[in-house]
Amino acid sequence: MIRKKILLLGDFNVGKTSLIKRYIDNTFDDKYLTTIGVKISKKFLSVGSIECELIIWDVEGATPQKRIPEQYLVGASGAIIVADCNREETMVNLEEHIKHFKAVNPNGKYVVAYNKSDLLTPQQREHFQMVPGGVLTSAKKGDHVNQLFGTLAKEILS
Amino acid sequence: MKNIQIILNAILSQDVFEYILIDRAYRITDFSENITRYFGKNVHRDDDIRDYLPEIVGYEDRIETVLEDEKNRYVLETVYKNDYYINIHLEHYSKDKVLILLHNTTEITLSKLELLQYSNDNQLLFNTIKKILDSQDNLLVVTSNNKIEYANKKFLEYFSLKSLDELKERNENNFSITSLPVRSFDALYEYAKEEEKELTIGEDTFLVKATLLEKTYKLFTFSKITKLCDMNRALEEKINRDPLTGLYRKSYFDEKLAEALEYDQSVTLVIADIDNFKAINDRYGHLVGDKVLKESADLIGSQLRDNDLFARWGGEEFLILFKCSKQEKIVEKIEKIREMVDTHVFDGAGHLTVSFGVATSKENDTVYSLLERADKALYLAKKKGKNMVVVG
Ligand SMILES: Nc1nc2c(ncn2[C@@H]2O[C@H](COP(=O)(O)OP(=O)(O)OP(=O)(O)O)[C@@H](O)[C@H]2O)c(=O)[nH]1
Ligand SMILES: [Mg+2]
Repeated sequence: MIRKKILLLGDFNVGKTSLIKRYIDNTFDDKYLTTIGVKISKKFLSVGSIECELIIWDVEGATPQKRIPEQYLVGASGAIIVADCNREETMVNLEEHIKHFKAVNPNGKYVVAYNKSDLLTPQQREHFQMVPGGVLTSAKKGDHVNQLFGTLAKEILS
Repeated sequence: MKNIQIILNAILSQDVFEYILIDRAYRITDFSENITRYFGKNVHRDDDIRDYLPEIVGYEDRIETVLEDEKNRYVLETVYKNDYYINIHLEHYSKDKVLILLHNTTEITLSKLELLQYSNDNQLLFNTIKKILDSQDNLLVVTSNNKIEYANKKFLEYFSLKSLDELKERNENNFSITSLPVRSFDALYEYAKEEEKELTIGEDTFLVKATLLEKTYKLFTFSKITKLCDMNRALEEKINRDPLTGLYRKSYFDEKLAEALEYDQSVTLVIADIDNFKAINDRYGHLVGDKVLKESADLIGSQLRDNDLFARWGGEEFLILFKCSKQEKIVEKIEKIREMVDTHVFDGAGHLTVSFGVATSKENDTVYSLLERADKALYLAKKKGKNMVVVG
Protein backbone atom coordinates (compact mmCIF):
# COMPACT_ATOMS: atom_id res chain seq x y z
CA MET A 1 0.00 0.00 0.00
CA ILE A 2 1.31 3.43 -0.95
CA ARG A 3 1.15 5.99 1.82
CA LYS A 4 1.47 9.66 1.00
CA LYS A 5 1.77 12.52 3.43
CA ILE A 6 -0.03 15.72 2.51
CA LEU A 7 -0.30 18.98 4.46
CA LEU A 8 -2.90 21.68 4.86
CA LEU A 9 -1.12 24.98 5.25
CA GLY A 10 -2.33 28.54 5.54
CA ASP A 11 -3.17 31.34 7.91
CA PHE A 12 -5.25 30.64 10.98
CA ASN A 13 -9.06 30.54 10.62
CA VAL A 14 -9.07 29.94 6.87
CA GLY A 15 -10.81 26.56 7.26
CA LYS A 16 -8.06 23.93 7.07
CA THR A 17 -9.59 21.75 9.78
CA SER A 18 -13.05 22.22 8.28
CA LEU A 19 -11.91 21.15 4.81
CA ILE A 20 -10.50 17.92 6.24
CA LYS A 21 -13.62 17.33 8.29
CA ARG A 22 -15.78 17.79 5.20
CA TYR A 23 -13.55 15.50 3.15
CA ILE A 24 -13.35 12.71 5.70
CA ASP A 25 -16.59 12.82 7.72
CA ASN A 26 -18.68 14.95 5.36
CA THR A 27 -19.65 17.20 8.28
CA PHE A 28 -19.21 20.86 9.16
CA ASP A 29 -19.11 22.87 12.39
CA ASP A 30 -19.71 26.62 12.56
CA LYS A 31 -17.73 27.03 15.76
CA TYR A 32 -14.11 28.10 15.55
CA LEU A 33 -11.77 25.88 17.55
CA THR A 34 -8.23 26.68 16.60
CA THR A 35 -5.78 23.87 16.01
CA ILE A 36 -2.60 23.58 18.03
CA GLY A 37 0.23 21.40 16.80
CA VAL A 38 -0.90 18.80 14.29
CA LYS A 39 -3.59 16.20 13.92
CA ILE A 40 -3.32 13.40 11.41
CA SER A 41 -6.22 11.84 9.53
CA LYS A 42 -6.18 9.04 7.00
CA LYS A 43 -8.17 8.48 3.85
CA PHE A 44 -8.12 5.61 1.35
CA LEU A 45 -8.39 6.59 -2.22
CA SER A 46 -7.80 5.02 -5.60
CA VAL A 47 -6.57 6.90 -8.58
CA GLY A 48 -7.00 4.67 -11.61
CA SER A 49 -5.56 1.35 -10.58
CA ILE A 50 -3.41 2.82 -7.82
CA GLU A 51 -4.63 2.38 -4.25
CA CYS A 52 -3.30 4.92 -1.86
CA GLU A 53 -3.64 6.01 1.74
CA LEU A 54 -3.49 9.76 2.16
CA ILE A 55 -1.97 10.78 5.48
CA ILE A 56 -3.50 14.20 5.91
CA TRP A 57 -1.76 16.62 8.26
CA ASP A 58 -3.97 19.30 9.76
CA VAL A 59 -1.35 21.82 10.77
CA GLU A 60 -1.99 24.74 13.10
CA GLY A 61 -2.47 28.02 11.27
CA ALA A 62 0.33 30.49 10.88
CA THR A 63 -0.07 33.82 12.64
CA PRO A 64 1.90 37.01 12.12
CA GLN A 65 3.94 36.05 15.19
CA LYS A 66 4.41 32.37 14.47
CA ARG A 67 5.70 30.35 11.52
CA ILE A 68 4.95 26.66 11.06
CA PRO A 69 7.77 24.49 12.45
CA GLU A 70 9.75 22.80 9.71
CA GLN A 71 9.48 19.38 11.37
CA TYR A 72 5.82 19.26 10.32
CA LEU A 73 6.64 19.83 6.68
CA VAL A 74 9.31 17.14 6.32
CA GLY A 75 8.55 14.29 3.94
CA ALA A 76 5.32 15.63 2.50
CA SER A 77 4.45 14.68 -1.07
CA GLY A 78 1.93 17.45 -1.40
CA ALA A 79 0.13 20.33 0.22
CA ILE A 80 -3.15 22.16 0.04
CA ILE A 81 -2.40 25.82 0.65
CA VAL A 82 -5.54 27.46 1.99
CA ALA A 83 -6.71 31.07 2.05
CA ASP A 84 -10.01 32.65 3.06
CA CYS A 85 -11.44 34.22 -0.09
CA ASN A 86 -13.01 36.96 2.04
CA ARG A 87 -9.82 38.04 3.78
CA GLU A 88 -7.29 39.72 1.55
CA GLU A 89 -4.34 39.27 3.91
CA THR A 90 -4.74 35.47 3.91
CA MET A 91 -4.43 35.52 0.11
CA VAL A 92 -1.41 37.79 0.22
CA ASN A 93 0.25 35.27 2.54
CA LEU A 94 -0.32 32.33 0.15
CA GLU A 95 3.00 32.95 -1.53
CA GLU A 96 4.86 32.80 1.77
CA HIS A 97 3.28 29.42 2.61
CA ILE A 98 4.08 28.03 -0.83
CA LYS A 99 7.69 29.14 -0.55
CA HIS A 100 8.02 27.58 2.87
CA PHE A 101 6.57 24.29 1.67
CA LYS A 102 8.72 24.18 -1.46
CA ALA A 103 11.88 24.99 0.50
CA VAL A 104 11.43 21.81 2.56
CA ASN A 105 9.93 19.67 -0.23
CA PRO A 106 11.34 20.83 -3.57
CA ASN A 107 9.51 18.06 -5.45
CA GLY A 108 6.27 18.46 -3.53
CA LYS A 109 3.05 19.24 -5.41
CA TYR A 110 0.55 21.77 -4.19
CA VAL A 111 -2.95 23.07 -4.88
CA VAL A 112 -4.30 26.42 -3.71
CA ALA A 113 -7.76 26.53 -2.11
CA TYR A 114 -9.77 29.73 -1.69
CA ASN A 115 -12.16 28.61 1.00
CA LYS A 116 -15.45 29.98 2.38
CA SER A 117 -16.72 30.61 -1.14
CA ASP A 118 -20.27 30.29 0.22
CA LEU A 119 -19.85 33.81 1.62
CA LEU A 120 -19.33 35.31 -1.84
CA THR A 121 -22.17 36.43 -4.09
CA PRO A 122 -22.57 34.48 -7.35
CA GLN A 123 -21.14 37.49 -9.23
CA GLN A 124 -18.12 37.67 -6.95
CA ARG A 125 -17.58 33.94 -7.40
CA GLU A 126 -17.69 34.28 -11.15
CA HIS A 127 -15.13 37.08 -11.32
CA PHE A 128 -12.88 35.82 -8.55
CA GLN A 129 -9.16 36.30 -9.26
CA MET A 130 -7.09 33.21 -8.44
CA VAL A 131 -3.63 31.85 -9.08
CA PRO A 132 -3.63 29.33 -11.96
CA GLY A 133 -5.01 26.01 -10.79
CA GLY A 134 -6.65 27.54 -7.73
CA VAL A 135 -9.94 26.10 -6.48
CA LEU A 136 -12.81 27.99 -4.86
CA THR A 137 -14.03 25.74 -2.07
CA SER A 138 -16.62 25.76 0.65
CA ALA A 139 -16.14 23.42 3.57
CA LYS A 140 -19.54 24.56 4.76
CA LYS A 141 -21.44 23.64 1.60
CA GLY A 142 -19.01 20.95 0.47
CA ASP A 143 -18.35 22.68 -2.84
CA HIS A 144 -15.26 21.39 -4.67
CA VAL A 145 -13.79 19.78 -1.56
CA ASN A 146 -13.48 16.28 -3.02
CA GLN A 147 -12.19 17.79 -6.22
CA LEU A 148 -9.54 19.66 -4.24
CA PHE A 149 -8.13 16.56 -2.54
CA GLY A 150 -8.59 14.46 -5.68
CA THR A 151 -6.63 16.89 -7.84
CA LEU A 152 -3.72 16.90 -5.42
CA ALA A 153 -3.73 13.09 -5.10
CA LYS A 154 -3.65 12.72 -8.88
CA GLU A 155 -0.75 15.14 -9.16
CA ILE A 156 1.18 13.26 -6.50
CA LEU A 157 0.56 9.81 -7.95
CA SER A 158 1.20 10.70 -11.57
CA MET B 1 20.16 -4.79 25.65
CA LYS B 2 19.52 -5.25 29.33
CA ASN B 3 21.11 -1.90 30.14
CA ILE B 4 18.80 -0.15 27.84
CA GLN B 5 15.84 -1.82 29.46
CA ILE B 6 16.95 -0.45 32.80
CA ILE B 7 17.28 3.02 31.40
CA LEU B 8 13.89 2.75 29.87
CA ASN B 9 12.35 1.58 33.10
CA ALA B 10 13.91 4.53 34.85
CA ILE B 11 12.37 6.89 32.36
CA LEU B 12 9.05 5.15 32.57
CA SER B 13 9.00 5.16 36.36
CA GLN B 14 8.58 8.93 36.12
CA ASP B 15 5.54 8.21 34.08
CA VAL B 16 6.56 10.61 31.40
CA PHE B 17 7.34 8.42 28.45
CA GLU B 18 5.82 5.47 26.69
CA TYR B 19 8.01 3.66 24.21
CA ILE B 20 7.95 1.46 21.15
CA LEU B 21 10.89 -0.29 19.52
CA ILE B 22 10.80 -0.89 15.81
CA ASP B 23 13.10 -2.64 13.38
CA ARG B 24 14.31 -1.60 9.94
CA ALA B 25 11.16 -2.96 8.35
CA TYR B 26 8.97 -0.77 10.60
CA ARG B 27 7.83 -3.84 12.59
CA ILE B 28 7.08 -3.36 16.25
CA THR B 29 9.44 -5.46 18.37
CA ASP B 30 8.69 -4.15 21.84
CA PHE B 31 6.50 -1.56 23.59
CA SER B 32 5.44 -0.27 27.00
CA GLU B 33 2.06 -1.30 28.25
CA ASN B 34 0.36 2.07 28.43
CA ILE B 35 1.15 2.90 24.86
CA THR B 36 -2.31 1.75 23.79
CA ARG B 37 -3.97 4.80 25.31
CA TYR B 38 -2.55 6.92 22.52
CA PHE B 39 -3.82 4.62 19.80
CA GLY B 40 -7.21 3.60 21.14
CA LYS B 41 -6.49 -0.01 20.23
CA ASN B 42 -4.22 -2.84 21.30
CA VAL B 43 -0.72 -3.00 19.92
CA HIS B 44 0.79 -6.25 18.64
CA ARG B 45 4.36 -7.24 18.01
CA ASP B 46 5.28 -7.54 14.33
CA ASP B 47 2.58 -5.07 13.32
CA ASP B 48 3.63 -2.21 11.04
CA ILE B 49 4.23 0.85 13.22
CA ARG B 50 2.77 3.07 10.49
CA ASP B 51 -0.66 1.58 11.12
CA TYR B 52 -0.47 3.09 14.62
CA LEU B 53 1.73 6.07 13.97
CA PRO B 54 1.04 7.36 10.46
CA GLU B 55 2.90 10.45 11.69
CA ILE B 56 6.19 8.83 10.77
CA VAL B 57 5.23 8.40 7.13
CA GLY B 58 7.56 10.76 5.33
CA TYR B 59 10.22 10.39 8.01
CA GLU B 60 11.82 7.32 6.39
CA ASP B 61 15.02 9.18 5.53
CA ARG B 62 15.35 10.43 9.04
CA ILE B 63 14.74 7.00 10.54
CA GLU B 64 17.53 5.78 8.31
CA THR B 65 19.91 8.34 9.77
CA VAL B 66 18.82 7.50 13.32
CA LEU B 67 19.69 3.85 12.72
CA GLU B 68 23.09 4.83 11.40
CA ASP B 69 24.22 7.17 14.12
CA GLU B 70 23.31 7.24 17.79
CA LYS B 71 23.76 10.99 17.90
CA ASN B 72 20.84 11.53 15.55
CA ARG B 73 17.46 12.12 17.07
CA TYR B 74 14.31 13.85 15.97
CA VAL B 75 11.36 15.23 17.84
CA LEU B 76 7.93 15.87 16.44
CA GLU B 77 6.09 18.17 18.80
CA THR B 78 2.46 18.58 19.77
CA VAL B 79 0.78 15.78 17.89
CA TYR B 80 -2.89 15.28 18.71
CA LYS B 81 -3.70 11.60 19.18
CA ASN B 82 -6.75 10.02 20.73
CA ASP B 83 -7.48 13.04 22.98
CA TYR B 84 -3.85 13.39 24.03
CA TYR B 85 -1.17 15.78 22.90
CA ILE B 86 2.18 14.07 22.62
CA ASN B 87 5.74 14.73 21.50
CA ILE B 88 7.18 11.92 19.40
CA HIS B 89 10.91 11.29 19.76
CA LEU B 90 12.86 9.15 17.31
CA GLU B 91 16.03 7.88 19.00
CA HIS B 92 18.87 5.58 18.08
CA TYR B 93 18.57 2.28 19.94
CA SER B 94 20.86 0.01 17.97
CA LYS B 95 22.04 -0.56 14.43
CA ASP B 96 18.75 -2.32 13.64
CA LYS B 97 16.32 -0.68 15.98
CA VAL B 98 14.79 2.70 16.48
CA LEU B 99 13.33 3.73 19.79
CA ILE B 100 10.18 5.79 19.61
CA LEU B 101 9.35 7.67 22.78
CA LEU B 102 5.95 9.23 23.25
CA HIS B 103 5.92 12.10 25.71
CA ASN B 104 2.58 13.18 27.10
CA THR B 105 2.27 16.97 26.95
CA THR B 106 -1.51 17.22 27.14
CA GLU B 107 -1.72 19.42 30.19
CA ILE B 108 0.67 22.11 29.10
CA THR B 109 -0.60 22.01 25.54
CA LEU B 110 -4.18 22.56 26.65
CA SER B 111 -3.22 25.72 28.46
CA LYS B 112 -1.23 26.83 25.41
CA LEU B 113 -4.27 26.07 23.28
CA GLU B 114 -6.43 28.27 25.43
CA LEU B 115 -4.01 31.13 24.97
CA LEU B 116 -3.78 30.53 21.23
CA GLN B 117 -7.55 30.45 20.86
CA TYR B 118 -7.78 33.70 22.78
CA SER B 119 -5.11 35.39 20.71
CA ASN B 120 -6.51 34.17 17.38
CA ASP B 121 -10.02 35.32 18.27
CA ASN B 122 -8.64 38.69 19.28
CA GLN B 123 -6.54 38.94 16.17
CA LEU B 124 -9.66 38.44 14.05
CA LEU B 125 -11.54 41.05 16.04
CA PHE B 126 -8.57 43.40 15.88
CA ASN B 127 -8.33 43.03 12.10
CA THR B 128 -12.01 43.88 11.79
CA ILE B 129 -11.74 46.92 14.03
CA LYS B 130 -8.67 48.06 12.16
CA LYS B 131 -10.58 47.89 8.90
CA ILE B 132 -13.41 49.90 10.41
CA LEU B 133 -11.00 52.55 11.63
CA ASP B 134 -9.22 52.64 8.29
CA SER B 135 -12.48 53.12 6.44
CA GLN B 136 -13.21 56.31 8.37
CA ASP B 137 -12.72 59.70 6.80
CA ASN B 138 -11.49 61.21 10.05
CA LEU B 139 -7.97 61.01 11.39
CA LEU B 140 -8.00 58.54 14.26
CA VAL B 141 -5.23 57.74 16.68
CA VAL B 142 -5.13 55.61 19.81
CA THR B 143 -2.46 56.39 22.34
CA SER B 144 -1.26 54.88 25.54
CA ASN B 145 0.92 56.90 27.87
CA ASN B 146 1.45 59.53 25.23
CA LYS B 147 2.64 57.00 22.69
CA ILE B 148 0.77 56.02 19.56
CA GLU B 149 -0.64 52.50 19.70
CA TYR B 150 -2.70 52.68 16.55
CA ALA B 151 -3.24 55.27 13.88
CA ASN B 152 -5.66 54.79 11.03
CA LYS B 153 -4.79 55.07 7.36
CA LYS B 154 -6.06 58.64 7.09
CA PHE B 155 -3.86 59.71 9.99
CA LEU B 156 -0.76 58.12 8.48
CA GLU B 157 -1.54 59.62 5.09
CA TYR B 158 -2.10 63.07 6.53
CA PHE B 159 1.26 63.11 8.28
CA SER B 160 2.99 61.35 5.36
CA LEU B 161 3.91 58.29 7.38
CA LYS B 162 4.49 55.09 5.46
CA SER B 163 3.31 52.68 8.08
CA LEU B 164 2.34 52.37 11.68
CA ASP B 165 5.56 50.49 12.32
CA GLU B 166 7.57 53.42 11.10
CA LEU B 167 5.77 55.51 13.65
CA LYS B 168 6.24 52.99 16.42
CA GLU B 169 9.91 52.46 15.65
CA ARG B 170 10.55 56.04 16.55
CA ASN B 171 9.70 55.18 20.06
CA GLU B 172 11.10 58.31 21.54
CA ASN B 173 8.66 61.10 21.24
CA ASN B 174 6.68 59.86 18.28
CA PHE B 175 4.34 62.66 19.12
CA SER B 176 6.52 65.36 17.62
CA ILE B 177 6.63 63.93 14.10
CA THR B 178 2.92 64.43 13.81
CA SER B 179 3.55 68.19 13.88
CA LEU B 180 0.55 68.68 16.11
CA PRO B 181 0.61 72.13 17.69
CA VAL B 182 0.34 70.83 21.25
CA ARG B 183 2.87 69.58 23.78
CA SER B 184 1.71 65.99 24.10
CA PHE B 185 -1.26 63.74 23.59
CA ASP B 186 -2.05 64.04 27.27
CA ALA B 187 -2.16 67.81 26.90
CA LEU B 188 -4.39 67.40 23.88
CA TYR B 189 -6.61 65.13 25.93
CA GLU B 190 -7.07 67.79 28.58
CA TYR B 191 -7.93 70.26 25.84
CA ALA B 192 -10.53 68.18 24.06
CA LYS B 193 -11.92 65.70 26.58
CA GLU B 194 -15.07 67.64 27.41
CA GLU B 195 -16.20 68.61 23.95
CA GLU B 196 -15.06 68.96 20.37
CA LYS B 197 -12.47 71.70 20.05
CA GLU B 198 -10.90 73.42 17.10
CA LEU B 199 -7.29 72.72 16.31
CA THR B 200 -5.27 74.13 13.45
CA ILE B 201 -2.58 72.01 11.87
CA GLY B 202 -0.74 73.86 9.15
CA GLU B 203 -3.41 75.27 6.86
CA ASP B 204 -6.14 72.91 7.99
CA THR B 205 -8.58 73.29 10.79
CA PHE B 206 -9.82 70.23 12.61
CA LEU B 207 -12.40 69.49 15.22
CA VAL B 208 -10.64 67.30 17.72
CA LYS B 209 -12.31 65.08 20.29
CA ALA B 210 -10.58 62.99 22.91
CA THR B 211 -12.14 59.91 24.45
CA LEU B 212 -10.77 57.80 27.26
CA LEU B 213 -10.93 54.14 26.27
CA GLU B 214 -9.21 52.47 29.19
CA LYS B 215 -7.10 53.86 31.98
CA THR B 216 -4.18 54.67 29.71
CA TYR B 217 -5.71 54.30 26.26
CA LYS B 218 -7.08 57.37 24.58
CA LEU B 219 -8.78 57.85 21.27
CA PHE B 220 -8.36 61.09 19.36
CA THR B 221 -10.64 61.95 16.47
CA PHE B 222 -9.69 64.74 14.10
CA SER B 223 -12.37 65.79 11.67
CA LYS B 224 -11.30 68.31 9.10
CA ILE B 225 -13.56 71.31 8.88
CA THR B 226 -11.67 73.29 6.27
CA LYS B 227 -13.26 70.88 3.89
CA LEU B 228 -16.66 72.15 4.87
CA CYS B 229 -15.47 75.73 4.36
CA ASP B 230 -14.18 74.76 0.93
CA MET B 231 -17.55 73.34 0.11
CA ASN B 232 -19.31 76.48 1.28
CA ARG B 233 -16.93 78.53 -0.75
CA ALA B 234 -17.64 76.45 -3.84
CA LEU B 235 -21.35 76.85 -3.28
CA GLU B 236 -21.01 80.57 -2.77
CA GLU B 237 -19.01 80.89 -5.96
CA LYS B 238 -21.76 79.12 -7.81
CA ILE B 239 -24.42 81.45 -6.43
CA ASN B 240 -22.39 84.55 -7.17
CA ARG B 241 -21.50 83.73 -10.72
CA ASP B 242 -23.29 84.21 -14.00
CA PRO B 243 -23.66 80.77 -15.61
CA LEU B 244 -23.10 81.92 -19.20
CA THR B 245 -19.86 83.84 -18.84
CA GLY B 246 -18.68 82.54 -15.47
CA LEU B 247 -18.27 86.16 -14.35
CA TYR B 248 -19.52 87.53 -11.04
CA ARG B 249 -23.08 88.76 -10.88
CA LYS B 250 -23.95 92.42 -10.40
CA SER B 251 -25.19 91.85 -6.85
CA TYR B 252 -21.86 90.40 -5.76
CA PHE B 253 -20.01 93.19 -7.55
CA ASP B 254 -22.07 95.84 -5.76
CA GLU B 255 -21.36 94.20 -2.44
CA LYS B 256 -17.59 94.24 -3.04
CA LEU B 257 -17.67 97.78 -4.40
CA ALA B 258 -19.61 98.98 -1.35
CA GLU B 259 -17.06 97.28 0.93
CA ALA B 260 -14.18 98.96 -0.85
CA LEU B 261 -15.80 102.38 -0.64
CA GLU B 262 -16.66 101.87 3.00
CA TYR B 263 -13.01 101.17 3.81
CA ASP B 264 -11.99 104.24 1.81
CA GLN B 265 -10.06 102.30 -0.77
CA SER B 266 -9.64 104.23 -3.94
CA VAL B 267 -10.93 102.26 -6.84
CA THR B 268 -11.49 102.67 -10.54
CA LEU B 269 -14.67 101.44 -12.11
CA VAL B 270 -15.03 100.54 -15.75
CA ILE B 271 -18.26 99.76 -17.60
CA ALA B 272 -17.87 98.00 -20.92
CA ASP B 273 -20.68 97.67 -23.43
CA ILE B 274 -20.60 95.71 -26.67
CA ASP B 275 -21.49 98.02 -29.52
CA ASN B 276 -24.57 97.20 -31.58
CA PHE B 277 -25.16 93.98 -29.73
CA LYS B 278 -28.84 93.97 -30.57
CA ALA B 279 -27.99 93.87 -34.27
CA ILE B 280 -25.78 90.81 -33.70
CA ASN B 281 -28.64 89.03 -31.96
CA ASP B 282 -31.06 89.98 -34.68
CA ARG B 283 -28.75 89.02 -37.48
CA TYR B 284 -27.15 85.80 -36.22
CA GLY B 285 -29.61 84.65 -33.55
CA HIS B 286 -29.34 84.32 -29.79
CA LEU B 287 -27.00 81.33 -29.82
CA VAL B 288 -24.34 83.35 -31.60
CA GLY B 289 -25.17 86.27 -29.32
CA ASP B 290 -24.44 84.11 -26.30
CA LYS B 291 -21.20 82.92 -27.86
CA VAL B 292 -20.14 86.50 -28.48
CA LEU B 293 -20.83 87.40 -24.85
CA LYS B 294 -18.75 84.47 -23.65
CA GLU B 295 -15.93 85.21 -26.05
CA SER B 296 -15.86 88.90 -25.10
CA ALA B 297 -15.77 88.03 -21.44
CA ASP B 298 -12.86 85.61 -22.03
CA LEU B 299 -11.01 88.14 -24.13
CA ILE B 300 -11.33 90.96 -21.62
CA GLY B 301 -10.74 88.62 -18.68
CA SER B 302 -7.48 87.38 -20.21
CA GLN B 303 -6.01 90.89 -19.70
CA LEU B 304 -7.08 91.25 -16.06
CA ARG B 305 -5.31 90.17 -12.90
CA ASP B 306 -6.76 88.00 -10.12
CA ASN B 307 -7.16 91.10 -8.00
CA ASP B 308 -9.42 92.84 -10.48
CA LEU B 309 -13.11 92.13 -10.03
CA PHE B 310 -14.89 91.35 -13.28
CA ALA B 311 -18.69 91.03 -13.47
CA ARG B 312 -21.55 90.91 -15.92
CA TRP B 313 -24.25 93.58 -15.61
CA GLY B 314 -27.03 91.73 -17.36
CA GLY B 315 -27.37 92.06 -21.15
CA GLU B 316 -24.18 92.99 -22.96
CA GLU B 317 -22.66 95.15 -20.23
CA PHE B 318 -19.64 94.27 -18.12
CA LEU B 319 -18.19 95.83 -14.98
CA ILE B 320 -14.55 95.88 -13.95
CA LEU B 321 -13.33 97.09 -10.57
CA PHE B 322 -9.66 97.96 -10.21
CA LYS B 323 -8.46 98.43 -6.65
CA CYS B 324 -6.16 101.16 -7.85
CA SER B 325 -6.56 104.87 -8.49
CA LYS B 326 -3.78 105.39 -11.02
CA GLN B 327 -6.24 106.28 -13.70
CA GLU B 328 -3.81 106.78 -16.58
CA LYS B 329 -2.46 103.28 -16.16
CA ILE B 330 -5.90 101.79 -16.15
CA VAL B 331 -7.01 103.79 -19.15
CA GLU B 332 -3.89 102.55 -20.93
CA LYS B 333 -4.86 99.01 -20.15
CA ILE B 334 -8.47 99.47 -21.20
CA GLU B 335 -7.31 101.09 -24.42
CA LYS B 336 -5.28 97.95 -25.12
CA ILE B 337 -8.30 95.77 -24.47
CA ARG B 338 -10.41 97.91 -26.77
CA GLU B 339 -7.85 97.47 -29.52
CA MET B 340 -7.71 93.72 -28.95
CA VAL B 341 -11.45 93.38 -29.36
CA ASP B 342 -11.36 95.58 -32.41
CA THR B 343 -8.88 93.28 -34.15
CA HIS B 344 -10.40 90.03 -32.95
CA VAL B 345 -12.48 87.80 -35.23
CA PHE B 346 -15.49 86.52 -33.29
CA ASP B 347 -16.76 83.04 -33.96
CA GLY B 348 -19.88 83.36 -36.13
CA ALA B 349 -20.08 87.15 -35.81
CA GLY B 350 -16.74 88.37 -37.19
CA HIS B 351 -15.79 91.92 -36.26
CA LEU B 352 -17.25 93.90 -33.38
CA THR B 353 -16.29 96.63 -30.96
CA VAL B 354 -16.75 97.65 -27.34
CA SER B 355 -17.17 101.04 -25.69
CA PHE B 356 -15.85 101.85 -22.22
CA GLY B 357 -16.76 104.35 -19.51
CA VAL B 358 -14.23 104.92 -16.73
CA ALA B 359 -14.64 106.59 -13.30
CA THR B 360 -12.30 106.79 -10.33
CA SER B 361 -13.70 107.07 -6.81
CA LYS B 362 -13.73 110.32 -4.89
CA GLU B 363 -14.35 111.03 -1.25
CA ASN B 364 -17.95 110.32 -0.17
CA ASP B 365 -18.66 108.35 -3.32
CA THR B 366 -21.38 105.71 -3.05
CA VAL B 367 -21.92 102.70 -5.24
CA TYR B 368 -24.63 104.65 -6.95
CA SER B 369 -22.71 107.88 -7.53
CA LEU B 370 -19.64 106.08 -8.88
CA LEU B 371 -21.70 103.89 -11.18
CA GLU B 372 -23.56 106.92 -12.37
CA ARG B 373 -20.33 108.70 -13.35
CA ALA B 374 -19.00 105.69 -15.19
CA ASP B 375 -22.33 105.22 -16.92
CA LYS B 376 -22.34 108.81 -18.07
CA ALA B 377 -18.85 108.36 -19.50
CA LEU B 378 -20.03 105.28 -21.34
CA TYR B 379 -22.98 107.21 -22.72
CA LEU B 380 -20.57 109.82 -24.03
CA ALA B 381 -18.42 107.14 -25.66
CA LYS B 382 -21.46 105.77 -27.43
CA LYS B 383 -22.59 109.20 -28.49
CA LYS B 384 -19.15 110.13 -29.84
CA GLY B 385 -19.19 107.13 -32.20
CA LYS B 386 -18.55 103.99 -30.09
CA ASN B 387 -15.39 101.84 -29.95
CA MET B 388 -13.63 104.21 -27.55
CA VAL B 389 -12.68 104.81 -23.92
CA VAL B 390 -14.11 107.85 -22.11
CA VAL B 391 -13.15 108.95 -18.60
CA GLY B 392 -15.90 110.49 -16.49
N1 LIG C 1 -18.90 30.13 5.87
C1 LIG C 1 -17.87 29.28 5.95
N2 LIG C 1 -17.23 29.15 7.11
C2 LIG C 1 -16.20 28.28 7.17
C3 LIG C 1 -15.81 27.51 6.05
N3 LIG C 1 -14.77 26.74 6.42
C4 LIG C 1 -14.52 27.04 7.71
N4 LIG C 1 -15.39 27.94 8.18
C5 LIG C 1 -15.44 28.51 9.53
O1 LIG C 1 -14.24 29.22 9.77
C6 LIG C 1 -13.76 29.02 11.09
C7 LIG C 1 -12.37 28.44 11.06
O2 LIG C 1 -12.37 27.15 10.53
P1 LIG C 1 -11.22 26.11 10.85
O3 LIG C 1 -11.44 24.94 9.97
O4 LIG C 1 -11.13 25.87 12.31
O5 LIG C 1 -9.96 26.94 10.38
P2 LIG C 1 -8.43 26.53 10.47
O6 LIG C 1 -7.78 27.02 9.23
O7 LIG C 1 -8.29 25.10 10.78
O8 LIG C 1 -7.95 27.41 11.72
P3 LIG C 1 -6.64 27.19 12.63
O9 LIG C 1 -6.64 25.79 13.07
O10 LIG C 1 -6.79 28.17 13.75
O11 LIG C 1 -5.47 27.51 11.76
C8 LIG C 1 -14.78 28.11 11.76
O12 LIG C 1 -15.68 28.92 12.48
C9 LIG C 1 -15.48 27.43 10.60
O13 LIG C 1 -16.81 27.10 10.91
C10 LIG C 1 -16.55 27.67 4.83
O14 LIG C 1 -16.31 27.06 3.80
N5 LIG C 1 -17.58 28.57 4.85
MG1 LIG D 1 -7.44 24.09 12.31
